Amino acid sequence: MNKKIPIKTESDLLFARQTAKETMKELGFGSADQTRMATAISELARNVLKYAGEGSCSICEEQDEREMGIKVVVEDNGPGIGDIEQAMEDGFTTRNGLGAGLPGARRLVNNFDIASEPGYTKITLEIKRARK
Amino acid sequence: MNTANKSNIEVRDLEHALLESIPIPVIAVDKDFKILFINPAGCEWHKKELKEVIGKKCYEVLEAKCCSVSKCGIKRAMDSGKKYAGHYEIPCQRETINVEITAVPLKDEDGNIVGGLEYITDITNRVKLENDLRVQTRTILELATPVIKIWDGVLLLPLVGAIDTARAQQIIENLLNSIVENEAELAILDLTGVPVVDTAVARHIIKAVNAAKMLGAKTILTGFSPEVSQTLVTLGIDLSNITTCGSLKTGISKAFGIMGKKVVSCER
Repeated sequence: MNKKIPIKTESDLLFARQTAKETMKELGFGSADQTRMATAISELARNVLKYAGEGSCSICEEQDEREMGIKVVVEDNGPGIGDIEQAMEDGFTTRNGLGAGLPGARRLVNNFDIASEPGYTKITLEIKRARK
Repeated sequence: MNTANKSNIEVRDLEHALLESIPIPVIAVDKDFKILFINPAGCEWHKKELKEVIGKKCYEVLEAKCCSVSKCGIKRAMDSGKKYAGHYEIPCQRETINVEITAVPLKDEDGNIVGGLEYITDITNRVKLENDLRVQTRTILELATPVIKIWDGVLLLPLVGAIDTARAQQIIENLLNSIVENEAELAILDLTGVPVVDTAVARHIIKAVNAAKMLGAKTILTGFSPEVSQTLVTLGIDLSNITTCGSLKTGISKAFGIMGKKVVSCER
C-alpha cells in the first residue's frame, strides 16, 4: 500500500504523521517507533513548509517474512539544500530554528537518505524491525 | 448524403445533446456579448426563456449582479486569452448566493478570439461549510488551552492534541496573560495529551518558559510520555534548564514544595 499526501499547510503535516502512525500500528510497530517516525516526518514536513512552501509525503509499507518496515519519502521542489553536510550538523540553522531538525530526524530512524539539488529535494526515511 | 457526413451529423447532434443536458449553467457569447448559446440549465439559472435571450446582449437580459464591466469573467477571459475562474457573491432576496464562474475565450480556426464561454457553479454550500469550519477551528483554539488556577499563585495549563504554530502562539499568550492576572509564581504546563513533540513544538515551549520567567514565574513541564522523552533526547533537545516531571501528580507536589506547602492527611 502506498499513500501520497500533499504537504501544503500545517494540517497536512498533522495528517501525514497521523497516517504514518496508523500505518505503523497496523503493521505491528510499537508506540515508541510510531512516535519516532511521526516526529521525523514532522521535522521534515516543517522544513518543506518553511523553505519550499509545499511538497509531498509518501508512505509505503515494506515487509517480508522476516522484517516489517515502513518507508517514507518527503519531496519538494524548493530551493534545495546548499551544503548537505552542514545541514546535517547539530545546531546549524539558516532560519532561526533549533538546528536539530535534520540531524535529529536522521537519528530517529534506521535508514536516512538525502538527495538535494536546486529545485528538488528528496529525503527517505525508513524504520525496520524484525518480526517477533 | 454519404455515410461519413451522416456520422458527422450524428456526432454533432450528440455533442449538442450533451451540452443541452449538462446540469450546470453554460452560456456562450460573441465579442459584443451577444448570446450565441445558453443551455436549459442556464435558462433556468437566469429564470429566462431561451427565445427571450438568444441573440441579445447578455448584460441587458441576464441582469446578473456580476455583470459590471470590470468584473465580467468572460470579458477577462477574452482580454487575456486565457481561462479565468473567479468567485462571486450574488445578493439575493433572502441570502447571498456564492458562485464560481469559469470562463474561457472562444477562438476561431486562426486563433483569433471571437467570443467567450462560461459556466457557473453554485458553491453556496461549500462556502457555508468553509465558514462553519473556520468558526469551529476558532472555537477549538479557544477551548483547547484553558488556564486553571489550582492554588493561589499556581496555574495549570493542560495541553491536549497537536500543537501547531497558531496554537503555540495562543498557549504562550494565555500563559503570560494568566500569570499577570493571577500574579502567579508557578505555572505547570502539562503535555500528557500531546502525542508528538518535535523541535518546532519544543522551541515554542522553551519560548513560553523563558517568557514566563521574565514575568517572574517558574514553569514546570509535566506529562512527558516515555516515547516523547526518548524522542526528545534523540532529537538532541536540551530541556535541562527547565524543571520537568513525569506525571502531573509529581509536578503538583513539586509545585507545592516550591511554595512551602504540603498536603497532609487529616482525620475524617
